[in-house]
Amino acid sequence: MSAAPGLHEPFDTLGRQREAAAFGLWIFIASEILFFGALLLGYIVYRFLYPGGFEAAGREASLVHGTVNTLVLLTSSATMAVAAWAGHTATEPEDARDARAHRHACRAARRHVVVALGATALLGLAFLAVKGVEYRDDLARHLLPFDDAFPLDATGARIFFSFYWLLTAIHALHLSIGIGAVLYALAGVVRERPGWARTATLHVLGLYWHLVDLVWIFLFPLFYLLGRGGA
Amino acid sequence: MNAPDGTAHPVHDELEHHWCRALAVWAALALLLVATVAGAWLPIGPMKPVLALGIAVAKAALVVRCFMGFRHAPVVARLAALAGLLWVAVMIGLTFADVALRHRLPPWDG
Repeated sequence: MSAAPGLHEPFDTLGRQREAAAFGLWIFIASEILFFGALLLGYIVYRFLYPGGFEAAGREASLVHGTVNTLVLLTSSATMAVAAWAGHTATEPEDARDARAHRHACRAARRHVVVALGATALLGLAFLAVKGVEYRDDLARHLLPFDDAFPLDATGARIFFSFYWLLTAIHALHLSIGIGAVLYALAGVVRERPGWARTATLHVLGLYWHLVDLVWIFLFPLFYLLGRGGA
Repeated sequence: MNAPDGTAHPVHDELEHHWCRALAVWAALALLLVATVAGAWLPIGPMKPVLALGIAVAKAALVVRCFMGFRHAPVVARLAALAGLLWVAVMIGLTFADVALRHRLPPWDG
């Protein structure tokens, strides 16, 4: 029972360790819900106070970039889910007391995990690239709220863009951390770090990645879908 | 899980099944994305944000349920996540009890 690969203090079993890791990440998710919830509340209050300014400003957001990026991020969540599930497939046979079956499952699952994690990291980078192009266009159109040449007069339009820059930048920061974590985990799987299939690394990484996706799912309609079509 | 001879073909089936399952959820999410973008042009006036946020909640539910495996998470973990949602609901609810009603009250003339 001693020194199972991947087992750390203070846990007696890998099962307990995995459960604790997942619990920790769900607590982190709750704190992130509150963090983004407070920022979104600010957005909602100002949108309620200045509906006209928000509509006019929302029309300036690039719907094409926003929609493409939403699709990219949703796709990355799908590949991340596959990586976590494939990792789980490699975890399971440990209870079967059949070391050979476990090795076989690990080998088979490893390829899928590597492909899925690689795709996830690439899609994350693609999101950042599109966001970078979009930011460049935004800057060229003087959409920074403190730009002297800010093109909109409606009250609240600058406030809309304050929230736009703040929230999309914080989201991009979260995503960058996620990409770094995915690449770190990918390196561990490629180098067959002992116990990679038995720890909660992939599961927890997936939870974090999906959280970043969830945040974007709410940012997209709030920043890109205003003022389209008629009233 | 594994065949007696150790070939364990079910493992490969299971791995392929993961991709199919992810593809199915992804297709549903992509459909919802198309719906939300199309919905922005519907002539439904003040219902637009309601529709957009309703679709966002549907997408989020798919991700939480299918990708994050919320139902398989430990009970304490689910409680922790729900506590986050509860406090956000309290924060938004109390704030709007103030902001939204403030304008409807007659001016205070002490």
